[in-house]
Amino acid sequence: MKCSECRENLSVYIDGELPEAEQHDIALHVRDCPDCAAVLERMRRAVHALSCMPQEAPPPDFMVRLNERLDAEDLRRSRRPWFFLNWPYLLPGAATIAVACLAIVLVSRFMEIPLPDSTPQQVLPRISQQQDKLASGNAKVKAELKSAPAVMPQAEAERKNLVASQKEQLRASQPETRPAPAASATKDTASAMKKTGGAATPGSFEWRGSTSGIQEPTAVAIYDEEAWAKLWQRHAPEIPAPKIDFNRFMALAVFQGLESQERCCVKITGIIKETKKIRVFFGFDETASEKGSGPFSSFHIKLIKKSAAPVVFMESGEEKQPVGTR
Amino acid sequence: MNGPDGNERQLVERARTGDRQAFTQLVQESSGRIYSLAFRLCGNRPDADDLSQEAFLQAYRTLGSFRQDCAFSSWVYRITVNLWKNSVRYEKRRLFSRHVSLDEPGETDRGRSEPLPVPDCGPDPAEQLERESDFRAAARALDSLGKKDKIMLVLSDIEQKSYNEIAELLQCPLGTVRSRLSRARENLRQAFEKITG
Repeated sequence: MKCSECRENLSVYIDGELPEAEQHDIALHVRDCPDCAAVLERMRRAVHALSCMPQEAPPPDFMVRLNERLDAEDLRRSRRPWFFLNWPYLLPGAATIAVACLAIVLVSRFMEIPLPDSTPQQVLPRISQQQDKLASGNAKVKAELKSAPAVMPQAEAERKNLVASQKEQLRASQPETRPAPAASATKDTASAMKKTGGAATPGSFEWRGSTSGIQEPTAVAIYDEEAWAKLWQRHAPEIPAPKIDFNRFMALAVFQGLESQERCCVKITGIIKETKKIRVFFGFDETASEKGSGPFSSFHIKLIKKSAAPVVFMESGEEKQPVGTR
Repeated sequence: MNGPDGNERQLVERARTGDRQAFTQLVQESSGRIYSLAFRLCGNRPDADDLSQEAFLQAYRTLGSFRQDCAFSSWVYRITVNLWKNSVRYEKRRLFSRHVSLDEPGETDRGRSEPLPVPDCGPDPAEQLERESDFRAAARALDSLGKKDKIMLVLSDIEQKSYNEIAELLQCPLGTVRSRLSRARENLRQAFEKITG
């Protein structure tokens, strides 16, 4: 064995990690080579000295300073969002959710296509069967649609009634802006009664027309049945007074009075309920004027929710106390 | 590599839930081993202090990822080695501290001066004197070596790790461990000869 080869393996020789034959060869070489023996001896001394080094003890305040750093770490952690703090624990859960979502997507896709091992001969009849099913399903739906009209008119009528009712409520809750229909008091009143069967609800009913039995300009608030019957008797004696629940509602009525020249319909344009009084605004609707030379005495009667506050009628900035109120 | 015993496993579990007392107990049981390793790697107390504290701090931060397939101290041991390998500032301080004479009183431990520890290897005063001389020379020789040589000698000859353990710690093949250790010991021998004359 050469010296260079021996010295390359001295470290492993010291540890006894060489194969037995090589271990023996080096032992023989070292016995006969004083230089390699000296190198081996010094290496052993150095390694032995290192192995004798004692364990170093940490300084006495080691734990105190470490605890200070751990406190700082805790503080830093508490200021971090929770998902940063717990990411080692959250990671498996997040991965599981992601895999589950992916699996659902893949399964839902694969459910729609034929199995990979299906041949075209196997698949085509299957598709044909599905098409038959679809065709029969469509036929069933079509048959249902054909039978539907028998049911539909009733549903359609209910829907129309509902829409009409909503429109009435909306119109009553806001100042009237539409042109007033030029109709007779009898016709209007009969129409309202027909709708309700004699009962009235607030906001949903009003009576307007161009002919009234009340010949003088009148603005009145009615709070009870007796006053209502008297007013109606004067207004349209030939028609029974509509029934109104005066426990809940009150009526506001404006009569233009007999007019031969100004043939514009009177109209309640707005109702403002204040804490101490109710302001009722009225005017004349020029867009709803009537041509002719016969008697013209327009009126507008409206129901509102009953209130104890006094009513003040106002026309073009003037305030009028109601006539014939309680 | 042996896993943690039942008591240590319980301490780790408690520490994971935020029990600082449990973590402190784990640190106390392994601080001597970790600090000693850090001291041998760094060659001076301030750096050893920084390195070992950093290792425990990192263990505290990443306790959730500790699989408990080895003892807690072995896990922190590996953290310490990795930190030392990856740290550049420790290398800079090492270059500075290399010139500290071992014949002078030891480096101060936070202001407190104390002599370097001497191993108690035998009762014979003459032999003890010789070994003390060898120990100082070996320490100086070790301190003069490069980073790669030093880690091999510290793990193999001071920490008495087997080739397999070193390979696992440094994550390198067994053959690389043998060749690196051979080179490191040869460099140690040469440095040792220069010092001892």
